[in-house]
Parts: sequence; C-alpha cells; structure tokens
Amino acid sequence: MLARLIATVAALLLACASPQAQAHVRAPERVSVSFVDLARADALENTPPAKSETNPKTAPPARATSENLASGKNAALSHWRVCKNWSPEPKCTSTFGVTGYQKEAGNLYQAVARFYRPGTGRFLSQDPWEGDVKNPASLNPYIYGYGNPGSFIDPDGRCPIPSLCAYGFARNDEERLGALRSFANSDPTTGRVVGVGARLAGPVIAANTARLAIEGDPAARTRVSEFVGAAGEFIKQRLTTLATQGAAELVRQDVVTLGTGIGESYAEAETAGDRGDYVGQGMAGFDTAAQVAAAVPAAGAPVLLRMGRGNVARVQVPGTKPTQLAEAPDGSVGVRFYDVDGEAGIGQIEHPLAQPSRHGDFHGPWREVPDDNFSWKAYLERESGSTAPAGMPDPHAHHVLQKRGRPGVQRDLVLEGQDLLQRRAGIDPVYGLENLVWAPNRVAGQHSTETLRRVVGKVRELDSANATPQDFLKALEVLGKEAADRR
Amino acid sequence: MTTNKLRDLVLQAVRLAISRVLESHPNELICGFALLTDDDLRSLGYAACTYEGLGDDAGGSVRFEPVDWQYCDGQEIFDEARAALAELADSNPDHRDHVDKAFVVLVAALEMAKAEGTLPHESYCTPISTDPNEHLDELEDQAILRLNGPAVHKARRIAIGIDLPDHR
Repeated sequence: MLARLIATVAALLLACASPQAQAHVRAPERVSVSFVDLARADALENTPPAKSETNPKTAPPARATSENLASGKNAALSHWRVCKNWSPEPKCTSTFGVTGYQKEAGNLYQAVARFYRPGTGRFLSQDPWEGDVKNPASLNPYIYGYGNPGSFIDPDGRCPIPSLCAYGFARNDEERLGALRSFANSDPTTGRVVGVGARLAGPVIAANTARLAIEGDPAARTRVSEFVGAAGEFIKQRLTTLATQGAAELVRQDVVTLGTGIGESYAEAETAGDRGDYVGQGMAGFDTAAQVAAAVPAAGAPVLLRMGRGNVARVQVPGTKPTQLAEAPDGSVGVRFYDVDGEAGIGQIEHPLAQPSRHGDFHGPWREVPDDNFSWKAYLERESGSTAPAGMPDPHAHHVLQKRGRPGVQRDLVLEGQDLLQRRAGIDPVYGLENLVWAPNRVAGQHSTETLRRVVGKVRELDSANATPQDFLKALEVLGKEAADRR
Repeated sequence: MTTNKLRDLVLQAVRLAISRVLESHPNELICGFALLTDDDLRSLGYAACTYEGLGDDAGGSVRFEPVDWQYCDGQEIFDEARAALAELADSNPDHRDHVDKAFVVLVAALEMAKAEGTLPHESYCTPISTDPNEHLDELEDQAILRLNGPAVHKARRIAIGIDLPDHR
C-alpha cells in the first residue's frame, strides 16, 4: 500500500517541481483557491479515514491479497468494479477534481465548454470539435482525453492535448495550475490515481509530443522545456530520497505539503490505499513502467496498466496476463488496456466512427487570450487583416452576439446564445472571427437588450430547426452586416 | 493630446448633447445621461433619457441601462472628442493604462457637467462600455458611486439584479 501511495505522491511532486509551479503557489491573487486547499492540509492529515456505507453496492470489496492474484480469483477490485461499485467518501474538501476542473453542479465538474462527469471519463455533452479521422479516438465526442488521461488533458472540454503542452500553452496562472493538477494525478476514467509509471514516463512522452505542438510559439517552447528539465531533476531527487531515507517519512511529508492540492482523487487513493485495494493504472512506458508494474502486485493489489501496443510484450507483471483489446480500424490507436484478470472488454474505447450530427469550426483552445493589455481593436485587426472601414462613425470591434453583455438581463441572454453557438456550430463566441465585425458603437440599438434578444432568438431558432453550422455562420454574417450598417 | 484637453472636449460635447436632447424634447426632464464607449476606450458617444420618455419604465431597470435609452441623436457632436480619445489610445502603448486614465477623464467631464448644472443634479449619469469586460464593469461601478452617490448606486444594483433589496 505504501509503495503505491509513494507512487502517487511522487507523481504529484513531479508536477509541482518546476520553478513555474512554485511561482504559482506564491502568487496570491491568482491561486487563492490553492491557498485555501493548502490551509486545509492539517485538517486532512488529522481526519480519520472515511467510512463507506454498508450498502452492498457501495461497500468496499474484500481486501486484495497475493493469494488472490496467484490463484486468479481476484477478490480485489478490477477496473470495472472500481468504476461501478465503489465510491468512498473523499476526505479532501477541495473542489478541484483530478482533471483540474472545478466542481460546480452536484457531482459535475465545469470543463468550460462542457460538464465533465467524474468517475466515468466522459463529458455530458458532445465535443464541439468534430475530431480527426486520422485519430479515431478523437472522434468519440464524449470521451475525456482520447481515453488516455495519463498523457492527455482537456483544459476546456474542447480538445485534448498532451499534459505538458497544456502547461506550456496555459494562458494564465489559473490554467497552469489546472494543468499541473491534472498532470500530477489524473485518471478520470476510474476517478482513481494514476500509477507512478505514468508520472515518471509522462514527461518524456509528453515532451516528445509537445514538440509537435509548440512550433511557432517560442515562449511556449521555453516554458515546456524548463518544466521538463525541472521535473526530470525532481524525479531524480525524490527517488534518491526514497531509496536512502525510506518511504514512510517521505510520504507523510509529501501528504502534508501537497496532498490537498490535487483534490478528491488523492483523498480517494489514500482511502483505497488504507484498505489495500488500490488499483493502479497508468500510461506505462519503457522500463520504468515494468518496474512499477512489478512493484504493485508485490504489495498485494491488482494492477491494470494501459500502455502502447509496442510495450505490451516488454512489460511482464508476475502472476498476470496481458490482454490486448481490439485494434482501431486504421491501427492508429496505440493505447489499449492490459488487464491482470484477463477480462476482455474492460476499458475498451467506445468508438463510434460516424457521428452525423457532429460538426464544427473549432479553433482550438489555445488562441490568444486577453491579458491586461488586450485590445479588441488590435485583435480584430491582426486576426482578420482588416481595419475599421473608412467613413464608419465611431467604429469598434463588435461582437454580433455580445461577448458579455451589460449587467443584468443581458448576461443571461448572452450565456444562452454563446452556449448554442459553441455547442451547435463550434463557433468560439468570444474570440471567433465569425462573431466579430467592425461596427459603429454609439448608434441607437446597437447594444440594446432588444437587439440582443433578436440575435439570441435567431440562434435559438436555428437550434430548434437543427440547422447546420453553415446556417449559424450565415445568420451571424447577416446579423453582423446589420450591425455594421446600423446608423 | 493631454487628458485635460480631452476632458474639456468631452465636457463641451456633453453640453451640446444636452442642448440637443432638450431641443428635441422640450418640456421633458432629463433623468439619465451616459457616455458610451467600448472596452478599448476608443469610441465615444452618448445616450440620454427623460422621465417622460421612460414613462412606466422610469422605476425599472431601464432607468439604469443606457444602451436601452432612446435619446441619442446627433452623435457627431462627439466626433472631436472621440478623435482625441483615439489619439490618446494610440499614443499610449500600455493599453490598460490608457483605459484607466481615459475612463477617469470621462468621469471628470461628467462630474463637471453636473457641478455646473448642465446635467440635473438628481439625474443618473455615468460612462459605460456597451459590452463591458470585468474591468470596465468595475470601473463603471466605481464611477456610478462617485457621480450619483451611494443611494442611487444601491438602487441601480437592486434594479438590475446585482443586489437584493434591503427589507429591514
């Protein structure tokens, strides 16, 4: 149990090791939530382990033993059973989940564009991005992070990206912190903690992937590079400490220092660890994964690893049997489950290749975002290559559907319209050029509530008629022209 | 372009705008006047309302929502001030600094208009961004308090649903 806990904490520390991460923790105005979390560390430490209900559906299963594993009668948890039948009370009161999203409604997490349901690895609604046919996993509109949460996170519910890319491209401290939280400890599929192999191998995998995505952004490249460097050194230090000073003290300190920062997932893992029925899962890679995989069953718990196809043959876990599930149609999905029980079907990627209702003109999550010096005029000029038309009175960069609206009734209307534009047409209502035009600012009715009602009414109408994205675009074009011509 | 010069241009435009409204709507009493700008603090215009023009809406949220006011003829009155505002924006590479400073200038101009009696003392006035970001929201809130006093500030927040009525 301790070994698995160490694995978890090491993963967390890895993510918090960078100079940038330290800086975020020190930035009070940006990470106040984090401070609150950290302030609860003592309470967390002193809280007795949560007790589960006696309901058979929620009661913890029998404790895992090495005999169970060897005999093949797995009295402990399989991946599937964990998902379905066991949900311990989390001890941590952080509202941030493993994905870095914040809990908002009930047990749902606000993932910006969508709601995320923890423990299922699924979003409640479809991805506005239609996906890439070359990457079949991306075509599943509900799944989180290509079904590969060990290596991918989805910062705003619209497009999974490698964890390190998320960090490198984060637009502010809050997003960087979200990326770190997710990177530190993410397994949305089970709602449990990712195995240490994933975390140790993660930087290497993600850094390679990141290289592809950061071209054209030297600043992001630098940030990623710094983070990888710091993380690598940090891993080395922690492993050295572990070897020389022993695990117990290391874990205790790490829990106190950092445990609350990752929210429920850690608390659940701790509870599971106490019971000895922890299920490790990781995006395994290379020799490190083999070592970790070997270590976990030795401590008396089952292990379920997810790994690249190429590694399946290399990683041998004593007393277990690898199972490689179905291939993707074009063979491009290199991630499958490796199940110690040999239970086929566990964790298989549900993958509808055809989703006729899906569409989009998605721009991706990493558009430039306003900072203190952001100017809409400059943005529109740069992005559209146009300037305000000569002769237009009092021109400004105008959002056809207002970007925020006036306080009061307009705000609700704007939110409704933006949600529809985003979900139904994949249009970014704030930064998308489809919703931005040059128009006079001060003319009567340009920003009136009545005009806004009309715009939102049109969007509603298209939604009810199950219109195509092109219809939405056309409507915005017409409304934009009206705004530009309004005098 | 200096901020004082801009303030004077805006004040002059406010005077002309009030004259225009009163000419068009004689025998009506102005109860609201707003300077309309955008988040970049580059554009400039006005909107006004009267008790008579608002009619039944005078007691509702429209009283405090300048983008829904109907009196805004002759916006060219503000052309010179608008050009000065844009010039000020172009001359300042620090966008946020420009926004903050220019907003203060607009508040100062309205304050002077009220002090000299161009705007009725009891009228509601403020500069606004027509589609404000959070920063402009904050600036507007502060301006309303300064230009109209705490009672009107509170009444407006209740009317548009930011605050709940005080039932004590």
